[in-house]
Amino acid sequence: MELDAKTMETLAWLSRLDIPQEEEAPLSASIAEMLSFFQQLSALDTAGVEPTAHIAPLENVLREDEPFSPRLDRDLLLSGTESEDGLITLPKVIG
Amino acid sequence: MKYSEMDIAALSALLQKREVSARELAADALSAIAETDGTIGAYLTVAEEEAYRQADAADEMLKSGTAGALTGIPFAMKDNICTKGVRTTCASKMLGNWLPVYDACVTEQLKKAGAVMLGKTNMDEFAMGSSSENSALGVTRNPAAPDYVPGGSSGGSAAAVAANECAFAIGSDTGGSIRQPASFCGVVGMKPTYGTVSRYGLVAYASSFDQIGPLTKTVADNAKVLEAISCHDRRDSTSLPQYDTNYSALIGKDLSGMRIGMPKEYFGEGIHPQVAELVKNAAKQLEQAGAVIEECSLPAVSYALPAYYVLCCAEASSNLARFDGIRYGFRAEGIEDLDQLYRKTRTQGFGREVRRRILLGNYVLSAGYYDAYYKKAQQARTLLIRAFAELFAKYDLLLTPVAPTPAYKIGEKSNDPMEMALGDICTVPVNLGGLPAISVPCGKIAQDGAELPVGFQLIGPAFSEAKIYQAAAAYEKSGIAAR
Repeated sequence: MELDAKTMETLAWLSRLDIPQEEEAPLSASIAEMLSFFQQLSALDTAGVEPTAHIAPLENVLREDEPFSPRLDRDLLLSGTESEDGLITLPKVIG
Repeated sequence: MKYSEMDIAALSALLQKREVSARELAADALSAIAETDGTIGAYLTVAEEEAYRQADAADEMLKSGTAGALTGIPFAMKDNICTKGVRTTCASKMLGNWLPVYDACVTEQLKKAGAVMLGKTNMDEFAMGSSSENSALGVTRNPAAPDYVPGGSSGGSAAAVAANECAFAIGSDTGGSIRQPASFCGVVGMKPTYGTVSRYGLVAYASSFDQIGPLTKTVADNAKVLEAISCHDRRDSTSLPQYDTNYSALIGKDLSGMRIGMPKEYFGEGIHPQVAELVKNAAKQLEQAGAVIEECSLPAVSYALPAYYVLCCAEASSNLARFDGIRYGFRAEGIEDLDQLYRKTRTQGFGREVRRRILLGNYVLSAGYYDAYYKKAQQARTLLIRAFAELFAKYDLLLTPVAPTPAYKIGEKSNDPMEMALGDICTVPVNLGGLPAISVPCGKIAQDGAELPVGFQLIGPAFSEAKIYQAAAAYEKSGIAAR
């Protein structure tokens, strides 16, 4: 199994990652190797088998709405990358 | 015996008799770290001030008669668990200096118990790896053999316990990350039933597998720590009601009537012959302690590894989408537009293995491949869960190796992620099933002048922790567990 340059480009975009040129060949080979390994699953007969997304036997439980103070306080804002006057600051990203 | 070499039970007895104070124990542990951690590299952060503050609070609890089993006991925390005011890095440049503004549930539980946190331990970046070599912040060495890896991803936690740099440590286990380093370093490590310990404040890697658990010197200590950290927490929607948290209840009871299966698939090709031999010797000890041991079969494990890697990469690609350079941690310089802010930050902030898993995860989740990979892996997960259920109708517990080999040399597998992944074959089925499993030291293998520890794994059905501890403690008592 091989991954062409276009597939790698799409994957990088979906992941919001750049792939440095020197990593392109080894990374694509390594991903292809894992995908071939995943192919083992295709031999498995899963007709009619429910997929398991989660192991916990949980059900939705309804409760009354209760107002509470969310943790979006000053401390949380200040734990952001940069902040000023209690607000998160960002570089200008819109032209 | 030095304080730093003692287990929790012995230290607790001294504290209760007032023969030593929590502050003295903290000072002793901090000096043990200062003495040995330059070589081992178990800690990323040593939180001296915080440790003394918590030790003073523990001494107050001891004075006022409100102390419990962990009050005053020094411990280490894996660095993917939030600790208010103490940096939490996930061993990543992405969170290099991030200071959480809240405590994880497990941190709160340990503070409530009066345990004393010494610092935060090294790990594979975002818990992705099996040797701790993927840390962006440092190398951890195996205390049993310094040229060898401590295992991973909770390698720092296992090494800290093995090197007597804490009395116990907390780790997290997504595909074996508590049990495999416990095996490599010669300590006891438990991955509890999924939902037993709240994940609130654990930085998410693969949410449907991640589970927090203890690493300790003895089986009884391990049960005590789990008793302190397990709880039902409304802040983690997957946390389960805990009906019986007396995990020590069966320790010391004999094993008559206990049925233990040994699935033959865990002892076949790829398993180091001496590892298989040591685990089979442990089986004999368990038999002498009263258990009935039988060979059994679990063919479904053959597709556990691909299913696990499909699902954990998919979940990781989603969980790690939050690291965008805006809300916390690292932000790249020289940004011209929003897309560049994301891409540059993530490319520079994440290490190679993390980026590889994100790319793989996005591949298996993308249109056209979803059914072939992601859904198929979820179906394989269902089949494995059924296969385990069939075995647990016949057996109380299953006995297997923890890892196919003992620890390997630093650098030996770090450029071959596929080979590293194959080392997770014995541990990932447990995470797919949400089951509890323990790693217990069962001997050593001599290799190139080093003595490398090996552990066996006991797997049980959901909520069978007390029974697992019962069997593990009976083995430990039998005396051949060489630490």
